[in-house]
Amino acid sequence: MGKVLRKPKGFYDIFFRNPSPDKKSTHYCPGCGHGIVHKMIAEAIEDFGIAEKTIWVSPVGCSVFGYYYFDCGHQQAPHGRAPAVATGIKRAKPDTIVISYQGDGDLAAIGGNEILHAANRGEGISVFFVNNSIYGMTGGQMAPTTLVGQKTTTSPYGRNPANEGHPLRMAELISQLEAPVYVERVSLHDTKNRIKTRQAIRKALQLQVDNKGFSFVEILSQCPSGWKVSPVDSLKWIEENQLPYFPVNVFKDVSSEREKIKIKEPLWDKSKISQALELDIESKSYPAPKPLKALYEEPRIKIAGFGGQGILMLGVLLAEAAMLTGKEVTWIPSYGPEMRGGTANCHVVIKNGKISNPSVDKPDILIAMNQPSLEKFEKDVATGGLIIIDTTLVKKGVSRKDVEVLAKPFSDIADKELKSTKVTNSLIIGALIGKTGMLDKTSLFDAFKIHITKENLIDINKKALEKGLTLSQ
Amino acid sequence: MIKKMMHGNEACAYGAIIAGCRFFAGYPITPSSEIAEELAVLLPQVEGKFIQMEDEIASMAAILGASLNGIKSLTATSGPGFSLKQENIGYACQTEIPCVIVNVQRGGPSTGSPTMPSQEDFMQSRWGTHGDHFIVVLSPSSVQETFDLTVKSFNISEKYRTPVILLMDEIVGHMTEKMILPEPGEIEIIDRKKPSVKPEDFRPYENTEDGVPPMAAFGSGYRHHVTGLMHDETGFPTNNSEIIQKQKDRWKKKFDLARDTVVFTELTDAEDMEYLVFSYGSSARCTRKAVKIARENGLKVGSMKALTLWPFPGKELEKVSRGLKGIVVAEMNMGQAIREVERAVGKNVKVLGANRYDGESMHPDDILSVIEKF
Repeated sequence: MGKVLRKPKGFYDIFFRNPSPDKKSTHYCPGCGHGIVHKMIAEAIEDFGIAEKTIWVSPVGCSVFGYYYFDCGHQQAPHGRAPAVATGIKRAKPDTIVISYQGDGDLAAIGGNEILHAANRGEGISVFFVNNSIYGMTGGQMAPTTLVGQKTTTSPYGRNPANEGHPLRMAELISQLEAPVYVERVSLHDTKNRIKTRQAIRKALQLQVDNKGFSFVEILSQCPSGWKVSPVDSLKWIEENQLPYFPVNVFKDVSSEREKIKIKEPLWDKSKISQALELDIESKSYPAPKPLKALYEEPRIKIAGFGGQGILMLGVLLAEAAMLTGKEVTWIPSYGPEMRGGTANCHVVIKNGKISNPSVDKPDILIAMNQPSLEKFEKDVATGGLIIIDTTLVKKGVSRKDVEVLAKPFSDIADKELKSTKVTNSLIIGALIGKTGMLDKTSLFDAFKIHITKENLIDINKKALEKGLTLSQ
Repeated sequence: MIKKMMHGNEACAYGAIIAGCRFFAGYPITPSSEIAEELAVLLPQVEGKFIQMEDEIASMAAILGASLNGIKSLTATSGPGFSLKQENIGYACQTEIPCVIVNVQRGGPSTGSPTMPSQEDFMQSRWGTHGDHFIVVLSPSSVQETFDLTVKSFNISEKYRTPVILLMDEIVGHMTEKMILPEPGEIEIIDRKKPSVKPEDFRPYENTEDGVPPMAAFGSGYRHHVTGLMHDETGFPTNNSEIIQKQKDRWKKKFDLARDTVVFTELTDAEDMEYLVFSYGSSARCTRKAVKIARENGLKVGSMKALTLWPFPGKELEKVSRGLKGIVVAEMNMGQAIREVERAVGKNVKVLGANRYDGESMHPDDILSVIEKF
């Protein structure tokens, strides 16, 4: 005796947001479980002193109006997306307390994917899942948690597993995952279980305050309106219908083993950003190229062959070296839907001024590394242009007479003299720059450093390029 | 300032970091995946957050949450993923959440042509989500522009509290070229305006003079509510038709006032032009080549490149269209921007489309053959 009953401070004193004339009661139907769960959470928010940094993410469903009651930050997420929105909120500022409050349609049906993956990533949020085995707000339709045989407006003959599947046990499902720290199912059907519910809610929030990770509390809750029973009978309904299928239990609790998650703030330090973007490298100058023909001053190049021949890399290296020399460059790849195998070609444009069209329809230089490529693109080469072919693979030579041709068994030479066909492209680069004078080898050596990720391969590519220079006639 | 060789998707990631983006959520999809891959490397180096989410819907939802908590956020996708994101793009429009959505276009509908270039999302980028709404759409035609417009996208989204779509195409995304990267601090970065009033006086959707209400991060002492329902100035839902109209009128006012500061176009060879080629994205590159060839053949052709697609640069186009013999709209689709061009210039000028929708990039001949038809 003597205890003054009052609303917890986590609630507004007067529910002024509620459009109903009654500003002291909730909008929930008589006997509904939401009000009880709300009160337990509001008490915990007050007791832990976290109202200032709490963000309540509401679902779509009866509890969409959570903002009528809780004196904290609110976001109402699109249907089912609460855990995904909560993920963003929590990760952006990990010291905020994020509550994802969801019903069974929102969490287990339309938002099934979101809850599974938020749990699996171990997002540091607290999920309160109110399971009343029905869609309340839309007027009593079947939920993923509706029990077998239960009649709803969309399962008028009773839920039939052959047609609608079995009810989803979400707490069990979530507890199978590695990341969640705490998963419990509780119930509101009697005082003993309500005390357990209160403890579970407080535990989930405390774990978030302690940065321990993802917690999930499923609460079996009564919906007298949806079930079409009296508030008193609804408690019995939980016991007789929900409990046998949805047992209350702590399915997972690894809170004592879990380390605290470390929180890091975003970096705004300019030097760190420059370092990350590699803006702190020094620029270097290279010997000016000495193109042997006007055509090689600003060449448009097409390189074609099979995927895996290093076609795309050949183009990248030429473009990078030209750019280092001070030219404007573009490079575009073209390949089928598959990333490996198949045919591949790329377009490189090197110019002194701005490049308008990056695609090369009429190349000045064509490098054909297989027969079909030569046959397809030979006719497009500009008069007086250059065609380079790998005669190991291109048996039928160039038929045009108005172009220069450089034909060598590049793959064979690479295989026999350098012991690797993988450097065929560097061999061809050597031959190309030897033939045209379009680039100096030092710029290509630096391009190797930028694009060849395995350091031990740089030397053999340099060797191949040097060898290529001797094949330019 | 430093020169680098990179592809468009990489330039977008770099632009995001420079613009102050510290949160990315996305889902792998060709041809945009390199943006995610690049940010997976870069963001952790600046203590930013990178998450690969379970799907496109959730990644869009996550960037909304992150932005509401005060962190500039980005997601990137393509065709089918862009369709999935529309639910939450609508949410961002309704709740005026600054964020940037990159769509590296591919041919559609449905799975379409994942590795081939297309500009088929011109209309979807404006009208993809349901209901009346406003949105800004920018479209780059080079790697340099991709970097520049990524930074601009963040600036516009922050300044006007709006989602901004960066509409790229496969060519721009996968093309590698030289670009100039500024050092952090060398270019203008805009951050959202924050409330200066006491928390109890804060109205997150206040009808300010410029139509842009200040925005408070969650957890910054300003408790407020964000909802996808129509809401009043306090952010709480309303069914009051007078208030609903006022809010929507404010959106319009905001975008009307912003319009001239977010519409970018480039006009070339215009002094003596008799014909104009209007284009955007990679088609604009091809247009420059076509104009050059046409001029060599004695035709007086100029070009307008739209860097902003929405709001549509109709005013700018109308001004230069008077007295022209014809306008060609070059785009890699069956004719989308052409409708807006026709609307802008009226019946005074003949407008013809140069359209390519076979998955190949636009060729100068595609444009030149249409100019011959006038």
